[in-house]
Amino acid sequence: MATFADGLAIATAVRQGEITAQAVVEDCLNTIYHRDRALNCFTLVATDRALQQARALDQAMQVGQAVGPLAGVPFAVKNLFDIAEEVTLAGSKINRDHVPAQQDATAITRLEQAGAILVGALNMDEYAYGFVTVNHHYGATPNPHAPQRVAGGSSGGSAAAVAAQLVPLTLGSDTNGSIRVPAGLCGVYGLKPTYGRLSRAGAQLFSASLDHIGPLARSVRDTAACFDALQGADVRDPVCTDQPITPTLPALENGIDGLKIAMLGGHFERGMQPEVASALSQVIEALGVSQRVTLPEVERARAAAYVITACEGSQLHLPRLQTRLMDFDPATRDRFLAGALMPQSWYIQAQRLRRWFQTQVRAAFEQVDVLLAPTTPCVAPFLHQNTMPLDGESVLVRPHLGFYTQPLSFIGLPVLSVPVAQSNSLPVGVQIIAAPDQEATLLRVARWLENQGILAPFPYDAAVTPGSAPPP
Amino acid sequence: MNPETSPTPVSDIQAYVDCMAQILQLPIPSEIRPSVVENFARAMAIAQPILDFELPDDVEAAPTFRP
Repeated sequence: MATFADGLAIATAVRQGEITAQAVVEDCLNTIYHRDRALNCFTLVATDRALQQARALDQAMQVGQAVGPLAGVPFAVKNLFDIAEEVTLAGSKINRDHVPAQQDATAITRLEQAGAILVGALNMDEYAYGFVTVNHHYGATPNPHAPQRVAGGSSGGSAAAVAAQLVPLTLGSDTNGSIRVPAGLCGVYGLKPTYGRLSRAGAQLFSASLDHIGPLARSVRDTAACFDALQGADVRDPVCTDQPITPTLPALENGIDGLKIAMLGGHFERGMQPEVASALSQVIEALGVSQRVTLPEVERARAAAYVITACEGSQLHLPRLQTRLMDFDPATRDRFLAGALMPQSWYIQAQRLRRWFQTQVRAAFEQVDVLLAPTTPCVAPFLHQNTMPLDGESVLVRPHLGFYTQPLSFIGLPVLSVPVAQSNSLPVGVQIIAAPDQEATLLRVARWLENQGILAPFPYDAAVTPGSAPPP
Repeated sequence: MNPETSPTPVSDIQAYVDCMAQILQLPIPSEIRPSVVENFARAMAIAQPILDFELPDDVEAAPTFRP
């Protein structure tokens, strides 16, 4: 896949007859077979299905049928998305005993309708409860740029597969940062849309009040094209919006004139490592940002997101905690148990705080259009690293990777994590944040920064991951 | 932590965990009980500032329900 800059470059070549979809998919599958053993991104490779889809697309083109904007673009999904006739693992051992899914998740159907071709499913933290993708049952997905370090999570397979150029496009899910954290640590784009903007039907829930799905990609235009293809009402998801589809791709080159952009102060300026501060400064300087917005009670917002997640996730899995406790990943098991024991007053107060915080942040968006914050406080931690310094304290690594992401998804704001082009550093992401339903604005700002050379996917060097050298 | 309340003794947290686990039919093996208690104590510390925060009575919980 390395010969094409991004997914839309593949689609253009396919539509212009320069390459067949079958050749694209064969190359993609070959790359996965040779390189994924060391990268450990894939838990399922859908070889037959992918080749059938590719041949069908080539035949459709031969008889002059129109093909979609993502024609021939291989994609893969976090293994919590239903794939028809496959068991949806959601990173667990327990789910292996489930019956196969009867139909594809809505997001898969929509991407295939746009011409994209599903090639497989990707590793994640068990039941999406983690920020590292170190999975007891399926192994760790290492960071493709530094294999002793984490890829981030819980959509770690989704980020690493794009970062290592196994596929140009993936889907992940984000409850507290699970798209943005791995996107940031792996140096790719990751979009967490507005809560309810994209259908989650057929994606295994974790904490329904906070669950989102979204794309990870190597360019802003791929992210936009994928988001556009995923839009639309869906009666299968009770929180999915029924507002009209508003494509973002046509407005991508509109620039930043007239946009009021500010950086987030307070909580979002605390605790970041020098590499992160430097990346954020690069973006702030390029955009000429001088205004700072400080939101109230961000720490409490983050705490409330934690409580809601623990209560909803644990309630969802209560029957399995009662009957299959020791089959859980030890990394999630004791947290799920603690969540199951929480009193209802914690949960309801957290949900009420969510409404209060939403009102405060809405007022801030009357003054600005776009906000900026780091994605994570640090570059990718080591796989076995337990603690890190944050604000002069030693804190646990795993929960604190969501330090800057969690308060924003708490109130469902659309956020795009973008990879900042820095030499002499591991990947670092910056969050571009907008008011609800303003994904087009995020993508415009990111595209402008990409055009200025401020953003770029982190360059992948296959030699970094032993055993992942490209096929001869 | 609310200034009027003193920290909850670990023994109370252990008793709460044991009692709730029994009510919810969660068979927590003895070898993981300390970790569950530790996780619950950590959660208590995280939840306390939310509980201490005074919200107006007219602030409704956030989940959407459309009949």
